[in-house]
Amino acid sequence: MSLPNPPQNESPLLEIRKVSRHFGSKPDIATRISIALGAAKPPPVVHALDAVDLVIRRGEVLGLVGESGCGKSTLGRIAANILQPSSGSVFWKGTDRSKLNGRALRDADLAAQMIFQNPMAALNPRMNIETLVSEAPAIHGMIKGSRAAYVDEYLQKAGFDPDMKRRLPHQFSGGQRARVNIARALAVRPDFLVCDESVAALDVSIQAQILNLFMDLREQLDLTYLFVSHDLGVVEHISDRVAIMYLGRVVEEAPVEEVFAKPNHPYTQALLAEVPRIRPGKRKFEAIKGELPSPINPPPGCHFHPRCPFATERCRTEIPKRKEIAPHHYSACHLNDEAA
Amino acid sequence: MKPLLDVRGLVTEFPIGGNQGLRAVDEVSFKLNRGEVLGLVGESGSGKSVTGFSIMGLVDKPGKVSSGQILFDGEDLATQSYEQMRSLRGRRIAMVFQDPMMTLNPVLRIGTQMTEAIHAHEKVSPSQARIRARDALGMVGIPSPEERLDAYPHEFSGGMRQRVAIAIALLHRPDLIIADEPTTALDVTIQAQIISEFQKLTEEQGTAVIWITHDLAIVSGLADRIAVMYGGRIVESGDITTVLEAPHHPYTRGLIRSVPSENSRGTRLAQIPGVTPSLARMPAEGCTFRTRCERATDACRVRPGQFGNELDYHRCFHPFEEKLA
Repeated sequence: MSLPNPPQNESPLLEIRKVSRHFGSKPDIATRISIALGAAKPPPVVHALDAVDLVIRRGEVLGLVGESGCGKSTLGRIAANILQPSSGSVFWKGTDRSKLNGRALRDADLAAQMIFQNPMAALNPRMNIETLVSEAPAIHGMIKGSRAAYVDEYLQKAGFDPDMKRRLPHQFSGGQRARVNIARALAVRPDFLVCDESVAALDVSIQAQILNLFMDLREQLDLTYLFVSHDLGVVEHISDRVAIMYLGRVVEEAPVEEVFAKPNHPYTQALLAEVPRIRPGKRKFEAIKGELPSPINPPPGCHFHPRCPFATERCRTEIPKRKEIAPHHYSACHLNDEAA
Repeated sequence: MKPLLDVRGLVTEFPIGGNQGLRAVDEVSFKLNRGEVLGLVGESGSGKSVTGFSIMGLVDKPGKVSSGQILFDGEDLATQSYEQMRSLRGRRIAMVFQDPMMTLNPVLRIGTQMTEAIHAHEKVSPSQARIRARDALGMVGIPSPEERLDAYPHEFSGGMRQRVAIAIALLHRPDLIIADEPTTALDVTIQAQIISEFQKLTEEQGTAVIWITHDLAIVSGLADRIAVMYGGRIVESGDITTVLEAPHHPYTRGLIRSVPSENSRGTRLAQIPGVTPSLARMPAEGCTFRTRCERATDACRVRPGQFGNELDYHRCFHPFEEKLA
């Protein structure tokens, strides 16, 4: 699929600039005093995101990939505006989202919706499907005609039989629940969907149905997706561009063909080597040594250097900058300087 | 050569009142040689895990193995007493589960749990048991195994915990390991590490492995043979390359084609219509897949037998013969 080519002067749908997000307990006054006196240690802080830049253009599907704990879900939540960054700013259609208020803020909130990993946990078990889907649009006054007809329309879009809308979530299978979640997100007419591991819990044959549904909806409703997943096969299938995260940073970003054909960052190369594919014939599984370090105390310099086979002295001290190494292909690795 | 494991017509039922029972495993037959890896593939509810539990003698009551034979090294496990099974489990057949946090006792040190498993089957001194536990940890690639023996399960990451579970399974050098989705909860890089440990095992120690999974891609690079399950039955079984290149059964074909691949970008994935019905709603007679099958005819109302020989077979009246494009 070709990359959608927006006019040059059009601002991107979403732009994330130097966004960091930390998690940690706020010390109370007594603890703060004892920290100041050197009697206590400051509480541990998780650096979930570390100065991340990311641009999402209108109409594209951006795949966000990484291991558990790399911060991809945190980034997805910030993109969907259900989590605020600790520092940095998020621009929605060219305006800083923290400067929005009133109607503009509400519209921006509704325009970005999220579809979660566990379709059962995301649905209130005591509400029937009709109520679940119609609640948000009713509150925001989006339903002009009959409520039942409105719900039916969106359930049909998500491939869910409207005759069953009076039933409760537990009466459905995982695939049907996923469809209800999608219908609910669509019911407030968003422009942008953040799918956080939305197909990870589904069986292969159901996963194929839901992936096809995402692609159909994109064409019908002109949607933009941020597709967060650990499954590289799924990301390769659905995305136009891919961003690879490692321990709170985006290490590489490129069009999907490019990243799978010519991965640049050593982490991307190692990760892609591990994609299991259906290919007859035994293969040797060789893995990257070691595990993802703790985001409480990330290594200095390039976060990947303790596991990187090419790491040099410079990688241990200096944070690599994100550079354009080929058209639209960005990578943050010191090795690119030496090659040049 | 006599196979290590020879499962013949295994039926595992769960009673649902009256004289009726739900057949979670329905006449399943397969063979496994030493050092061989069998990929047992299927979606949720296909009966693949219950097959594993049946071999281990771990089917929860009121469910039971109601007919068939499980010949392990010539002995029928289905007729063994509880004590006999207990002396086999952990010693000659071991199982690795999906969630290592559930298999490890959270309040005991790893070393305690491992030496306990050794003492369950052998009389050895505590210090010898500890040395064996340490060596087993080292074998699955856990750094500084001596110190890690004193750690608790919560001090390990998910991947490391799964290694501990595998190390426990290896303590008695079993002939057969049943691995039930052992890498499903892990990241790709950690998954590759675990699979490479299993590959070493089968090559160096001749351990046979039944790898239960829904992931065809893993099986394609790891297994020698594959058995695809649907609705409690093996619908197709054979050599891994043959089955993946030219699957006969429409379900196998649909399953392979619904996995995203490098060639599927920008296209719609092939879909198997409908959803897997629950066991209670499976078609009672004939082929269980016929309600979702595009090739189904009236002939499918009769239960399909095994077409082929006892190793390589499929259960379909309208099989595909051509290779998968």
